[in-house]
Amino acid sequence: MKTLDASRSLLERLFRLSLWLYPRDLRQAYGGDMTRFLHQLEARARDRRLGRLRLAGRLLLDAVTAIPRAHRWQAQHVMTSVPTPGATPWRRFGKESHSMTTFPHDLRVAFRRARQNPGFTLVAAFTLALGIGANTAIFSVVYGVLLRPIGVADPEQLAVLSLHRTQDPGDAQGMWPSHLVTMREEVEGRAGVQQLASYLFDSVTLLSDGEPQELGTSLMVDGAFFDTLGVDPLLGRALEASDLIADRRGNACVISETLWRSRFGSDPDIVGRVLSIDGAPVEVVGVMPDNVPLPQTGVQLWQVQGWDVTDNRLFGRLGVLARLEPDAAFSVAEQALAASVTRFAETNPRFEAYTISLSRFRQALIGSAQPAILAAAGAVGLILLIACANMASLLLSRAVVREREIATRRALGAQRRQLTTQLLSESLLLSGLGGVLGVGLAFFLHRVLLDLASGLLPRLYDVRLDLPVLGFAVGISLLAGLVFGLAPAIWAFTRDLAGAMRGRRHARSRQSPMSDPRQALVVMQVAVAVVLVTAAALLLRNLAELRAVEPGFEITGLGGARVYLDDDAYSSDAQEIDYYLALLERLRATPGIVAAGASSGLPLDPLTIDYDLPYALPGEPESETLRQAHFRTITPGYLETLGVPLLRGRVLAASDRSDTEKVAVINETFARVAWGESNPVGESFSIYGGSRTLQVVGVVGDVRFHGPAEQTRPAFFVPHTQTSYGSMTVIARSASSGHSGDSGDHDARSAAGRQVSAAVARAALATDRNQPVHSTFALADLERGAVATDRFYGHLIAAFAAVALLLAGAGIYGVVAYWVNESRRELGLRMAVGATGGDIVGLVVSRSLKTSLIGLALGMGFSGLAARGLEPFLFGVTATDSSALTAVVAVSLAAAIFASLVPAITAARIDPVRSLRGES
Amino acid sequence: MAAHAPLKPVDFHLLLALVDGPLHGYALAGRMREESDGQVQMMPGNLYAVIRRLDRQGLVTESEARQPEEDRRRRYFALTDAGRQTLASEGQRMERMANAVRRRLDAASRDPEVTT
Repeated sequence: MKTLDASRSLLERLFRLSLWLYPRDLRQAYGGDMTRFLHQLEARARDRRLGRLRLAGRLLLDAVTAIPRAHRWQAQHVMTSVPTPGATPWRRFGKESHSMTTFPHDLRVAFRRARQNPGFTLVAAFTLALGIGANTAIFSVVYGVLLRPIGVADPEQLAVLSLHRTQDPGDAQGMWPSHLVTMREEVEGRAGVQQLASYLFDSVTLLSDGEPQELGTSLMVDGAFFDTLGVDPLLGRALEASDLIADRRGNACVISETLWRSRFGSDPDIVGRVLSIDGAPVEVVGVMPDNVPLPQTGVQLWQVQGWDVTDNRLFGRLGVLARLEPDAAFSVAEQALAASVTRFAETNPRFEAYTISLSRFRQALIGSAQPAILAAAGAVGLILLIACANMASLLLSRAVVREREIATRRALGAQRRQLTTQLLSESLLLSGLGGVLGVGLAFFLHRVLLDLASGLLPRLYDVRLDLPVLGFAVGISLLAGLVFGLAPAIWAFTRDLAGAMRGRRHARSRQSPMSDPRQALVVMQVAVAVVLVTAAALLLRNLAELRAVEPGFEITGLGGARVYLDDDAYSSDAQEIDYYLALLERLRATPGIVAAGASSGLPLDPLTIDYDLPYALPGEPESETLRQAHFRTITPGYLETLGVPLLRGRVLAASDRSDTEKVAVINETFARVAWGESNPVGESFSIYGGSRTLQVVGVVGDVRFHGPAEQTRPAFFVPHTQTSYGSMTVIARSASSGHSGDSGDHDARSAAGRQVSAAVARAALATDRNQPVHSTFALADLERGAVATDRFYGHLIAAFAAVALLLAGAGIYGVVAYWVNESRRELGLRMAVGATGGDIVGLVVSRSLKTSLIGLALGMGFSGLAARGLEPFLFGVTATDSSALTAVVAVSLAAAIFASLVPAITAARIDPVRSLRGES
Repeated sequence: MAAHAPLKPVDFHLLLALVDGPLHGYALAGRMREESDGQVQMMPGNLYAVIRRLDRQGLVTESEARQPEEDRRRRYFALTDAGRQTLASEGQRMERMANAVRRRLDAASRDPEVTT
């Protein structure tokens, strides 16, 4: 119940803040009672749906109406009452009454001033709105993904299991049904493990009320899944153990809130309805809210399934959750589960190299996204800093203009506090306006962010612009107003009083454009912008590097489909081999298809499960080798379809049959690792503990199996006739693809690939009606998916950098323009004695550039630190990449020059005669 | 007493809610909601602003009445004598108005043309 505590204190904190807007005596007399009142309202709101949100709305309305009323009544009372000492307790304010009325008064004055000077007001407010809007939008992600409590019971007791090679904990994969059976027998109920649950991502076709609908992400779950996860349905009930039918799918399902709303129009009687799912009748027993947390987003349907331990479509694909006892030690549970998996491997040698590890649910859900989100939050925080500096600079400029007014008021005896509240109320008004505009902008940016991050960030269903996020926006607006309103207030009290009153503005005009606090602000702005521009330059260079990496094969025009053959129908190797040969033959006969092949795994495919097998060279005892190589079983034509170049020897052919010599084609890396520079064709190596020896017949080029950032591993390919697989990925290439220059147009490539994949799906159905393809893909999409996250962050930070440059440019512009205006006399004089327009432009630009250069140098220094923080995200680019840094300097200088050019040109147009006469 | 009448509806309901004895803010708001059939729903800001105004006008005052085990900082409010009189005279005024309305309506129903 941390949620309630957390947001209660926020609501209460906002409420307490609002108390400061009431007249002081009201606050002092009744503030405590008002807060107690709030507690009771909150207690009542807690049990209601949206109660808290409604309460917040009503409180807002209450404050908006009550505060002006209270001040009005206060003022009426002050005017009409005759102070009679000691009459009633509330009359004690007497003396303070003046100061109590000053805040609303100041606010009114501030309003009037803002209206008189709309240009200034709008520039300041929009500057701030950019900062507040971007920060609020990013904070909605930070809050939703990282901070909002996860929507399951006691998430800290929930863990996710992953199976991985003992030597490579980073490369996790799903588990086998038989793993689960063993662990349930040996561990469940012991070692702090309360319960295990398993699930499988799948896609099903829903048929109800007309059109069939492919539900891309459905989840097959066992009976313990919802109980283990600890989530409550919106309607009906969750799936239970009693729904389970051994070895097959049950006829009960739960649908998502989204599906319920979109497909069934929020039908309140949905529970009990029977849907047709993949042709079978399945009853809806409940509706799950959209925030059921799972590592993948957008699950539409959960159907119960009893795992068949012999079904190879389930092998290596089950996700497993563990609910631990409240006081269980994580490491004890992990050890017990790992020991169970090790014992399992004793009878199943193929898992000898595997172990499991346990990660906390929260970590599994959001762990990998956290550093990047925090980096984005840091970047956007810098934008706010620049925006605030802009506002401080603008307010300072205005304070300078009003120097005389302020000095006069001081001379007339205005208290420091009175002047400060006046200046503060002006900056608060501006920041309030900026906050309102910023929240409006945030709504827009929030939508854009959700769109762009879709599929790349976890928990997007929890990312909302709600009370805590809006509270954050209010908080930063107030903070911006307070901190940067204080700048002119402090300045106002450090000025030379007498000089100001006489209207002397002597000192400033002789110095540089930056000869006051605003100079420091500009240096800071430029430095911060340079840090962001550096980060953006490095990330964009990184993205370019990633895109430039040759995948090792030709992507354009490639498409395909995954086929998982049914074990019962295809129980022998020969049947599987014949099926794929027939399918490929049919495919090659299809008009427009020029090549086709199949493999046990595809490069760049997130659904491919990889096996690395230990191998031994002749004369080397295998037990002593730690060498492993990627293993793929392929049909003839597969490597040619991919477009992987043959470097030596031959590729696999139809003549490699089960009764001929066992052969393999290896990749370049394998050849280099195992045989160095010598020709490996004709050499041999052994696998499966020496029980099978493979002769190398050819060497092909390297392929980046896991995307451009991954190192290529040694790999070997064997003919499927010698190692048969039921689950293969079938690919084909279309005739139109060729090696054309259209590789830049992703949409066209993707569309071409999808056409091919549709042809593969049709050919599969024609080969065997009962074996539809599992899913289809275009290689262009897989390739794009492999760098999608890098692209998202690269573009995000680049957008931030652009905004930062814009704001810093506006800052420079403001200060230079102000200086030009102040220095009319000096500039006029220079022109009168012969300076040309070009001289004046040069003078102004070079003076402003000096400050920008200090900022640039400072920024480059800080960038070193920022770049080090970025290093984990970088591939093939170092933090000191010279072309990136050159670009940073060029872009930053160009922005600084451009920003001061406009006021410089204005300066060059000054009429020397008029300016010397003191006219403007 | 005529100086206070007619009372604002909110003031009327607040005074009315205090007739049976002192109440603290939250209970007062609850009583006002009940007695107005949900018409008057006070949130803390407006409630205490009104209380303070009525306090100034001398119609309401802080009361020492408090349950023995209760939070000592919690304030109770009670009607002053002036408040009670004001409420009474407001009640009479409303009664007179109601009577006037009833008379006119009765007359109108006997002689429909009067209304046109």
